[in-house]
Amino acid sequence: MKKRVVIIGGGAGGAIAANRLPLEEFDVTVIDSQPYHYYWPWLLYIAFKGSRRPMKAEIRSLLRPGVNFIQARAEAVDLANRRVQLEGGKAVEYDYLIAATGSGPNYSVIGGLDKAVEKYGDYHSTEANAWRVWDTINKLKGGTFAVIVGGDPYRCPPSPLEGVFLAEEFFRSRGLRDRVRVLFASPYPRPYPAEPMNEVVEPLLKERGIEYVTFFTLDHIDDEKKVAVSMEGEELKYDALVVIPPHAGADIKYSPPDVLTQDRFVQADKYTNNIKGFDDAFVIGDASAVPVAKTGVTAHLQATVVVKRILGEDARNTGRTNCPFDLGYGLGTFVISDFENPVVKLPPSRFSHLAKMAFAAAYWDMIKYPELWDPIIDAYFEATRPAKLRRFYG
Amino acid sequence: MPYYINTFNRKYKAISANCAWPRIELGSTPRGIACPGPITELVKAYRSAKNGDVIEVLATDPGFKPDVEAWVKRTGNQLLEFRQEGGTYIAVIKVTAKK
Ligand SMILES: Cc1cc2nc3c(=O)[nH]c(=O)nc-3n(C[C@H](O)[C@H](O)[C@H](O)COP(=O)(O)OP(=O)(O)OC[C@H]3O[C@@H](n4cnc5c(N)ncnc54)[C@H](O)[C@@H]3O)c2cc1C
Repeated sequence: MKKRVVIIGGGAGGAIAANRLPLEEFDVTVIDSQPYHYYWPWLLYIAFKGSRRPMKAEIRSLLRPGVNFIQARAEAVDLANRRVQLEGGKAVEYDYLIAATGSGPNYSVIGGLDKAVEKYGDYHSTEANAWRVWDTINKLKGGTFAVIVGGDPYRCPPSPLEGVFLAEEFFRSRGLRDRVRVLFASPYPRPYPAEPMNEVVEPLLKERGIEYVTFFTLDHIDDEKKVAVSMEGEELKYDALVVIPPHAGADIKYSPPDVLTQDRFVQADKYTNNIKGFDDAFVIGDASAVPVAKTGVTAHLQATVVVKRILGEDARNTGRTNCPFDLGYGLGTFVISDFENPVVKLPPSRFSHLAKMAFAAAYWDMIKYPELWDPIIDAYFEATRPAKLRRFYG
Repeated sequence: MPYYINTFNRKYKAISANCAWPRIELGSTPRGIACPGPITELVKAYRSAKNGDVIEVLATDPGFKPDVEAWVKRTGNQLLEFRQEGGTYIAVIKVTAKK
């Protein structure tokens, strides 16, 4: 009998894993609570460019023929008995489990945030909220536009500053830059938390007249007074604001419960993605508590490692990240690092921006036919190995 | 890896064994690379702490010292102690500045 692999989540990690498993050997089932796979990075371009390019595709259409798809919310995972409980009472049993349930905003951590999102939008939750940001920036004709990091973790480390750079470009292109002040606030010591990348970013903020406040831990938002208030009571005045919400893992009950962290991320071995204490269960992508950046690239690489492990190979994660960073005005860079090497100081270039856009254009194809893209991706990763880049860029 | 452990109800321990974005392995941290991991963990613990609580942060990155010193200065909380035990840097912070 074929071994049953159950994958919860048909996003970046889950879909790649499903499309890589050989169907002669495995009976593969993907479970997702809703029908679509979202290309989340595009929220940024809805929010700040009003892009109408579709950012979702039906999960079914992305999975190879022969992969089963169940549209239902997973409610509970029983790791000892190898069972996934679905809403409505049905349960699915597995030989191998891959949890790829992503992460989403947890608005409850910050007072007044849910109301602020309703009014001004954000770009880390839904298409509708990203369109609200687009409305917000189009309506703002003067005053302060604030982008505030609400706390860790959130998807894609560069995304808060990408929003800041694109907003500044937007207001300048509308001829409003002398009337709109762009303000960035974060709880960390530097605008970009990792020092080498900050050396690229901070001069650009200064050059473009973007103000920033560090060590600002957002406590609550008082939209009547139009102030964002820190835990020490410091107030930042705004006319419109967008907060990067702290994220939490999916609302799924695990047993044993101690595999979850307080914010519902699943604890796992960072090299193998095995869920703590279980050799037949894995967690990949944003859903894991593994200390790596929450990016699609990470989910992709981890899916590849986990599939190899299920096939019996001793594959291991290198911790490689490769996060494109839009710096506005057609410029970009990449946040590149791995377990052994800190972030590389990669200077801004047009090429990096074009590479991000080329990647976005090829995205759906990469999900559907991961094996066809392997040689290209492998060549790219080899050429941009952090240890190699560091020799050039420090 | 637990990012903080709530002991005695009112004492927090933020453990950051390595660096976020990237978090890198113990021992391989180049000296002076300021990594955001420990401050990230500190901020998380701080969010749920009350005035009077004590937060202990463990880090392996020497860059943590200037960062935590700047943090207490800017936020008005108190650094009770900063010590080194082998390759681990330990900051003990008393939360005093919360409104
Ligand atoms: C603004 C923004 C910009 C970004 N930019 C980049 C970038 O440039 N490069 C990059 O690599 N990454 C980027 N990312 C991050 C990237 O989108 C995510 O890291 C990636 O989608 C993670 O994949 P995943 O499979 O872990 O989760 P997801 O793609 O989020 O998929 C999770 C799936 O699980 C399903 N699910 C959740 N709970 C349940 C349940 N209980 N039962 C059943 N199904 C469930 C969901 O419906 C969803 O389909 C960005 C993200 C944002 C928000």
